[in-house]
Amino acid sequence: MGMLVTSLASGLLLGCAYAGAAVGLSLAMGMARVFNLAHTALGLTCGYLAYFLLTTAGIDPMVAVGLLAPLMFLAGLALWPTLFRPTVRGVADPALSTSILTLGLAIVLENALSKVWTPNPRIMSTPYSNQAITLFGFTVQGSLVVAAVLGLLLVLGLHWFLNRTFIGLAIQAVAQEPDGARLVGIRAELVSMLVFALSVGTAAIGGVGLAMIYSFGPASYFDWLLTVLLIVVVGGAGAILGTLISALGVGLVLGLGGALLPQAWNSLILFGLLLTILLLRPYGLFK
Amino acid sequence: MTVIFMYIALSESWTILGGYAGYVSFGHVAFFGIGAYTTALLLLHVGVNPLFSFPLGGVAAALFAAVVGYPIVRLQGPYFSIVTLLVALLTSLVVKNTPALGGTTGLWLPLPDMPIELNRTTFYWFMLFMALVATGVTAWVENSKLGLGLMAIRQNEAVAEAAGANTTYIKLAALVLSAGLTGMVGGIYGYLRSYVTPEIVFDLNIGVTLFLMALFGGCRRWQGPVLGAVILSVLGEFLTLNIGEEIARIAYGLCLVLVVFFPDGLVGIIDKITVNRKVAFGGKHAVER
Repeated sequence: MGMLVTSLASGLLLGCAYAGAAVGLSLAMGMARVFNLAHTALGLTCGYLAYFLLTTAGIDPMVAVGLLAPLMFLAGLALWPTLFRPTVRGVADPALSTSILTLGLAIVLENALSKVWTPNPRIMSTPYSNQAITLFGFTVQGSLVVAAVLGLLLVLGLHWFLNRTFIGLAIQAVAQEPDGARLVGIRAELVSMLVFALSVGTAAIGGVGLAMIYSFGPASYFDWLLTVLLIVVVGGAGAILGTLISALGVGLVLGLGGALLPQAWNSLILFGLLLTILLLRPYGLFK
Repeated sequence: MTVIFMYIALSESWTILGGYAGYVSFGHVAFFGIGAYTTALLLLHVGVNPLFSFPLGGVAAALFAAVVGYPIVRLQGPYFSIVTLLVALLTSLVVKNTPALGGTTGLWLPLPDMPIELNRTTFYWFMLFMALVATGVTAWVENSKLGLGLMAIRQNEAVAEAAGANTTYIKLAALVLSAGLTGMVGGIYGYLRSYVTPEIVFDLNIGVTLFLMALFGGCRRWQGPVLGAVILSVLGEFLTLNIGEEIARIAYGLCLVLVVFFPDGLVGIIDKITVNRKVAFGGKHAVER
């Protein structure tokens, strides 16, 4: 019984961490029509950079996130006009063309990572990563708590930004009615660029969070991507709080599955769930 | 050369649905693997040589496509792509956990009892045969009623549907045909490697490479995949031998990025150049495809 409760608690925390990794993709898919298959690959790149900073300069991953997220935001600003705008504009199905583009990007990133850091798996070890922390009577791993707090802060921060600031409201306006938004003077092109950059910036936070929990190799982005896609599809693309809720659900499934079933079953459940939901309700469960 | 022929056959068969209809399947390697396992099992349990039974591999893959295909072809855009990818992952996962299929260790196939050179040339001729068959079928589809329906779907599916075309049936037929050809190639490949494991025959790199080649060459016409498969196989082999496998994969990834900017691939570029020349010299205008 105790083990079950503990795995429930760590499942919820895992869900929060995954919410951080998924929320950016949800934003890009729902508000900028970009189907970014490189989302977790970008996150994983940041995970490797954080690992590099930790092992060479002793910089804590939490500090590294503060450095990497703005950097990735700038990278997003640079990527939009060069690669993404031409693929979104004037294309019959922007989601399909961006998915091919980002699949290419993900392959490039994966192999560049494996070239630089070898394919061997890495583990980020911080003073708190293996420390047992007792929260409300449950004992959980330290790094899991840190990653969960990062993810939760990110999701809540984005929710606040989208609903309480002028730019956030403009983003929602463009997502709902691009032509109408243009009529009232919103520069939809700039807004899409901003959404994409935000999404890439949050990929850094989510990626470092996941890299703190799991041991990771260059191919890890693929498993992360499938989990994150499941979360986004269940939550509905563009729905921030929906993403959080579905991430908590997926976290519970992963946490319980990890405790009760062998490893192979875990991915079977994950793929099977994603397949079923995509076949039955590709636009999300709550829409 | 055998590998080049294999990729010509694979990307040609992918083009039937992925190119003409614009339904980009990421998971065609599932059909490839099913073909390989079918012929492997037939060899081990019934004793039929895969060089005779490889059409049965195609039949098995086509049957599989017909069974799972119906709900899948009704999805659109990237959702179709992701679901095909998941089908490939799930099939490989099921095979890995089925002891009768050898699990993760796979199945050893005793090689044909003949000298190694003859063995090599045999596979060479069979892959050449498959490349010719796949190219022929794809070229035939391009000018058939099926191809017309597929291209109508690519241009505007709603209009095609409204004009009375049964789009779901057309897409399913294309998927089954494409899967059958892919499965036949897989059936030969498993015997060529003489070792069938989920890692080898459900390798997602094969799945991505085959459609990259089609897209790169230009998948609106049957000439494109041949061009793409030849150029990219040579490039990949050259980079792997001289610099490293990772660099070769990075080059493939970059090609995939590039392809998005030239949706008609190399064939499209060549067309544009020749058409411009014709116009400049007062020739006939090319018919819009």
